[in-house]
Amino acid sequence: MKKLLALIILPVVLGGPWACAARTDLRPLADLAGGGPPAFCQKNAPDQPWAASFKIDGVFLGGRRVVLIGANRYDPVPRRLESVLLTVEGLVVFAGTVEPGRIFVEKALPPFDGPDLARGLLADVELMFLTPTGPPDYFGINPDGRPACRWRKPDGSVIEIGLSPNGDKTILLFDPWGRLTRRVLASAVEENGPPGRLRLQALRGGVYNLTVELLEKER
Amino acid sequence: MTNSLFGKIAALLILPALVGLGRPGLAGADEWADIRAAAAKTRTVRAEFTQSKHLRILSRPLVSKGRLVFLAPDRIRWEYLEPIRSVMLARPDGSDMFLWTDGGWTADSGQAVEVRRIVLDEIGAWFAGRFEQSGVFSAELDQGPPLKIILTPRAGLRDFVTRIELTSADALGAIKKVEIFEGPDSRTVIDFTRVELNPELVPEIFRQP
Repeated sequence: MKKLLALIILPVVLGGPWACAARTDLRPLADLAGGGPPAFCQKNAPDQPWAASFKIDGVFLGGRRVVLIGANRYDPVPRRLESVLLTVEGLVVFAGTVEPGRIFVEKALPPFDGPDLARGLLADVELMFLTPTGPPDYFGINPDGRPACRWRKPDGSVIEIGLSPNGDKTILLFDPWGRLTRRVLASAVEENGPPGRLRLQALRGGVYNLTVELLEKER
Repeated sequence: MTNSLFGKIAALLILPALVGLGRPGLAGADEWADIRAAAAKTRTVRAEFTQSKHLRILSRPLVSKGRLVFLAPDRIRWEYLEPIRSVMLARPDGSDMFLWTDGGWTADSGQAVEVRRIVLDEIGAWFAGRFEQSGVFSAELDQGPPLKIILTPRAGLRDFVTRIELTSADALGAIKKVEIFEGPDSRTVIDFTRVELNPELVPEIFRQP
């Protein structure tokens, strides 16, 4: 009996907080030479305001496709992102504001008027455009072989940002049980502006893919 | 909000641009009867447009360019060329929307179909110049100059659109500009150029993108 208990308890003790989730997608980071977190983790958010418009191409489960225009305005102080979605004809169908820890929906027309969908939409916007600030909680080499940093959010979820040799960033969101729920690939990344291209894969809580392409930016 | 209401909102973004377009004799037409008489002379319309979307969060408007074709009483082709290519086709037997994606046209079979069908519910009255008979908007004339038709939504749309202004271009009375006010944070301006009245049209342009 004692041996059986040990077989159950030891993996939890040795594996840390994620060991209980036998099917977790969150694997430990390997050690990174150099001692401190990578440079790209230490300045991960623009310190200048910017505004931009985007083309958003969404493909949903079942193959349904939606094309919208998005407009975002980012202010570093306070750290805030205002986001608007429009149809191709120019009708505003969604508007909201995201600040760290706060989401506010200002306008939502069908099909974006469901409360869960509206908040989920802004959460995706936050994931794509409001990367974590402050020193990472963990850093190292991720299972894909890239230098990566992780931040644990108050709700227990984890955001990982990894850097590819070509400068692309991969943003992963794990839920409190270590399951991968979102994968974002950011290309043409600027230090003080929006990325030129984003691809988001939603894997849980609704399955869909979004491709976001920069149309025009202003400062 | 129902699909019907959403459709009417989408309709107002398109229909005002077509209403009264190129109607000769509107200048000095301070009676709705004159407007209806002018509207009766137009069989087809073809024009280009530049649409500027003004948002509070952007310093510069979002600019789209496109073209429209109309065949009285109820066929419309409303096409955006940039920055996103799309085509809306409206006919008595139905409506379609197509998006240009991955190098080809893709039919949008979602909510847009319902939107287009609802647009047709209003289109007959608009093109006949029967503004004052619309169930969606109340209309008034502002003699200016320039001459303006001011449309105010009736109950149900007021949370989304506050008013629409159709501005006459010159003494000949062609509608040059449409402004759609969605509230303090949003306004759409559509400017028309290269307007042709009664050109010959190929019927297939209302069926295929």
